[in-house]
Amino acid sequence: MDCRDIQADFIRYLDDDLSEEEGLRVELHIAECYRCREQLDELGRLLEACRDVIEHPCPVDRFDELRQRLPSVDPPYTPVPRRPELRRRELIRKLAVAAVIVAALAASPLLVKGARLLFSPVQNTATLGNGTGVAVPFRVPFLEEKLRLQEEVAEWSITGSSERDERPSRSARD
Amino acid sequence: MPAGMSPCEGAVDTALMLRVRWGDEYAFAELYRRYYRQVMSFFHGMSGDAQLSEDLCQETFLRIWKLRQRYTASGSFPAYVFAFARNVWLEQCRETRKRLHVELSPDVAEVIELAPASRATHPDVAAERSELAQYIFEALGELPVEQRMAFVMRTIGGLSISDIASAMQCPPNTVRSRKVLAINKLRESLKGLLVL
Repeated sequence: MDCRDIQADFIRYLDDDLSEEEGLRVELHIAECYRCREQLDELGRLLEACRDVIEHPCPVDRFDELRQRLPSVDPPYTPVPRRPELRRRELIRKLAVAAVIVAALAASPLLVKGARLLFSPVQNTATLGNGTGVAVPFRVPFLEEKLRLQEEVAEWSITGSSERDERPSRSARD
Repeated sequence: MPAGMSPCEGAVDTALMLRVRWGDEYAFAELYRRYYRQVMSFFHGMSGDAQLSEDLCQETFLRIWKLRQRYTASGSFPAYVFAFARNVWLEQCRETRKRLHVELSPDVAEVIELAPASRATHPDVAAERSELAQYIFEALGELPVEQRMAFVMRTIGGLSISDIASAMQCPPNTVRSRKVLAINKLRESLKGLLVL
């Protein structure tokens, strides 16, 4: 590494912007090279002088004066912009509500049909010819309807057995 | 909390600014006290004028207060403050340019507006300043605005390269190169003035 390469790093070295390895390389070089050490010192003095000049000579705390001006620039209340995460959550909530509404609308014909089956008289009755001469509905989806029909069947069964009772039994005949 | 210490003194800058958002003047006072020296020094380095730098510092904090509801607590707070300071300075340059184009001939106005630090050439101001400081301000005035800004922000202390990059809205390596270019030009301009 020659002096030119090392001097190119002087500004960053004084700014503490070099890696540890690069900083060590500079220090090892200037320990041995008087000319580079002089260059570095001169640069350091320049930056020091600039810092002294740039710094305000006598900064004065003027907050009291500033405080009196604050109401004059006080803006009318504006809502704080919502954070993106909150907007996202709100959007998801709205989409979920919309999805529930759409699902309810889609399912409503089924619900209406189900309600009709629950509350209306048995329909689509067909005679199956099960020997009792009883018209049995071929579709009994709900429990109350099922129980009612079972009662009807039981009643008709009793009626049927009473007719059999009138005929003499086989053992009696034998 | 030690006696005599206000509730704001131990709080971090971000927490204070969040309170400022809700109109807390005590928190704003604490932030002002933490940063007004650096902000004034920034404007002093850019303009060379102590009085102007105080006025521009006031303007900077006034804008921070006015636009406090936009603060989002993302990023470094010093970068936030100096972003405002940068904008105030750029507006100051634009207004100076407009005013000088109206009052003076365009050639003269152009020379003056490119080197705001040459206000130091005003006789009264120059008399108060050492010769070296005069030369330094003249050399600073010859730098392009962005290079001067990067150099001044880094010199006043308290701002990292990434803070400066955020305030100047450019990549960190751009800040590094602007600073290096500024220092090399200053070295060239001030060669021989600094003696052991």
